[in-house]
Amino acid sequence: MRGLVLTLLNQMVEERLGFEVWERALEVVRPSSGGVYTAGERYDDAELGALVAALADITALPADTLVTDLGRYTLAAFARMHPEHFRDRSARELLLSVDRVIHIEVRKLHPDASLPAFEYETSDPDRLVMLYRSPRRMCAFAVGLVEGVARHYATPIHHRETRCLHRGDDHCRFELAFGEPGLAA
Amino acid sequence: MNPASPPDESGTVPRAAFDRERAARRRSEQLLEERARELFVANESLRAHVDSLAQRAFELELLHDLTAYTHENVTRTQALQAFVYFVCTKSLWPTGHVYLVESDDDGEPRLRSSGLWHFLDPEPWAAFRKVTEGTVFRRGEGLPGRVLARAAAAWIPSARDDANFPRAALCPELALGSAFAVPIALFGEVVAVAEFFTSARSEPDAALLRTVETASMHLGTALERRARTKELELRVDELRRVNLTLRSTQAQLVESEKFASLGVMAAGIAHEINNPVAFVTSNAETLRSYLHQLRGAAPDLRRLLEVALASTDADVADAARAARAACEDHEIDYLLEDSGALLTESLIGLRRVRDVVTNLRRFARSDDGALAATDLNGTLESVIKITANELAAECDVRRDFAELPPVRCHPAQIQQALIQVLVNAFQAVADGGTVSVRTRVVDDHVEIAISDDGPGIDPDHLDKLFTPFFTTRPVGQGSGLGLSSAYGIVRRHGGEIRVMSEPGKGATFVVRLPVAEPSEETPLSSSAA
Repeated sequence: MRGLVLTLLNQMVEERLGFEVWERALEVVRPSSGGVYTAGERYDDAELGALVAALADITALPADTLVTDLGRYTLAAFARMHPEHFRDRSARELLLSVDRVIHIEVRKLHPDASLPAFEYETSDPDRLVMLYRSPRRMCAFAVGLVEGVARHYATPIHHRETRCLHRGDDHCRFELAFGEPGLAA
Repeated sequence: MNPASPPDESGTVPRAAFDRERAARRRSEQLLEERARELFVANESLRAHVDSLAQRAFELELLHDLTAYTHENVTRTQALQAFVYFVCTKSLWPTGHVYLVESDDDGEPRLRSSGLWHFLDPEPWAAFRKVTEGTVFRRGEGLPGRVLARAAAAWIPSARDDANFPRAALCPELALGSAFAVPIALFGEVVAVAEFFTSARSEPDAALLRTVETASMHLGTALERRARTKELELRVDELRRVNLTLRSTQAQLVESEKFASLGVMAAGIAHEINNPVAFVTSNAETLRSYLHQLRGAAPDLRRLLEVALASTDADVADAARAARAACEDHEIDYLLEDSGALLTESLIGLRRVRDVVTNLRRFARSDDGALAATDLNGTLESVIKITANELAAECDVRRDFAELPPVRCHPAQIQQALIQVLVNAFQAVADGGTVSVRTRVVDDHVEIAISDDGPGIDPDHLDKLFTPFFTTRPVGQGSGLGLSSAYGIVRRHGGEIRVMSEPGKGATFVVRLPVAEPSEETPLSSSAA
């Protein structure tokens, strides 16, 4: 896992819940990295899961909610860091390019890192079906990304997860419907 | 500065300093992100370029080698073998094979192994090869059948799992991975399918497929060029043959024309000579009979002279003496005797003139006479008897007669012609040798070949052989009309007569006569009627 996700988690927690909460979570988890996260390094996948679990304990929030928040936060941070990916695209077009964007942003530093895979069903221009396959099973993060995209483009996106890795399916299936840009969801 | 040491004694960092530090880290990370991405994108595009260059190099190398090879004068089989070889060695696919398109009894195309293979290592593929060479595919069946049906390349990621790859089940031991096949078309028609196999499994490689398809198109073009060249060569050959035929026809026409004018001349000469010869002969015979009567009276006259000489009458005796002196002076006895011999010789000479005239007429025009269905073997048999008795005591006659249909002809004329040819042959082997007579049916003609193993014919004489009065025998021993009259007869029957000979190797005369009735008149000359 790229350190970027962990530095963003750190940043989000510090901003929203405060310094202490992050410090307490680190104390609980005691990650092998010592909590020294930089965006460019790679870390054990388990550290993210353990931190999220610890944070859920401390805050009494569901872990999935935290991960979805992180997805939204990541999307917003990404839009600031790499505006070129977002320019001249609709929400649907951006979602269609997610696979490619993730590919570049992960592989550029770690050519052999494993990647989540998105497949698309695109027959209907107002809808989009995204199929998510990843051994990390972070579909809640994907939901956050979709919501982040909706917010960034001010385009309402109704989403439904009709299959899920957590329910024994071999992929998660998100059915998305796009509203008019500029209208609140 | 050691980052582990606190910046002041209390061990805490002022908030502003911390935030500054945090912001600096974010900015450096952002920079890292950007630079890393730039590098990555540049690297990816470079890699794509390298890949496409490698692809291009592979493509060019394959096309170059294939084109260079097929540019040579190679057969279709060699070109197909080369195609499989080049594709395998350039693409590193270990096994390749060619199926050829053929037609079944209903004219439907099907594919049968050409027996052309390329193996990196034939050992593991032995069973597959056997199965392949024993399998015929129809349109749509198996990998080659699919390619034939669509006239387009096909790729099977896993031949073992493919529903339409029947050969896999027949070779359970073989490590069989992916397969692909391309059509090879000639003038828009698929004539062969080249298929390639590997033991690894791989997804369709569009670039490889495209390259091999391009190569197969090049191959098709090369084969088309070859086919066109071959056709052109055939046409040139045909033109050459036609030209030769035309020339020989022209020569024949000239020959016919020559013989036709000779025919006219011969007919005229025969006519002109015939009358004087007839009355000279008639007069000479009359003269001979007069002479005979004169000689009949001679003994009486001689006795009268004896009596007169013995006469007592002086006048009578004087006159008798004068008469005897005159007889002795003029050799009357000798004159009487020699006149008879002279007349006999003259008559023999006249008969020869008559024979020459008859032969001339035979060369020039057909005699009247009925057409009859004739057994030429029978005719030949009697002709051999007639001529051999007279001429060929020392020589061996061999017969090789095929069963012949009856030939409608003027039997007496044909007999005459065959006599002439046979006489010629017997004369060639007068000192001993063999004359072979062979008959056979060729198409709608009967062919009679008469060969001798005599000295052969001087090449300079070959084209004059049938010309009237041409003879190689000493003056007075041959009229030079025998073969020319045979020529005239055979030509009038719509046939032909040819001679083949090499000095020292004998000669063969071939007489060809049509089985069908000759057309009413095949004139040798316009006056021949």
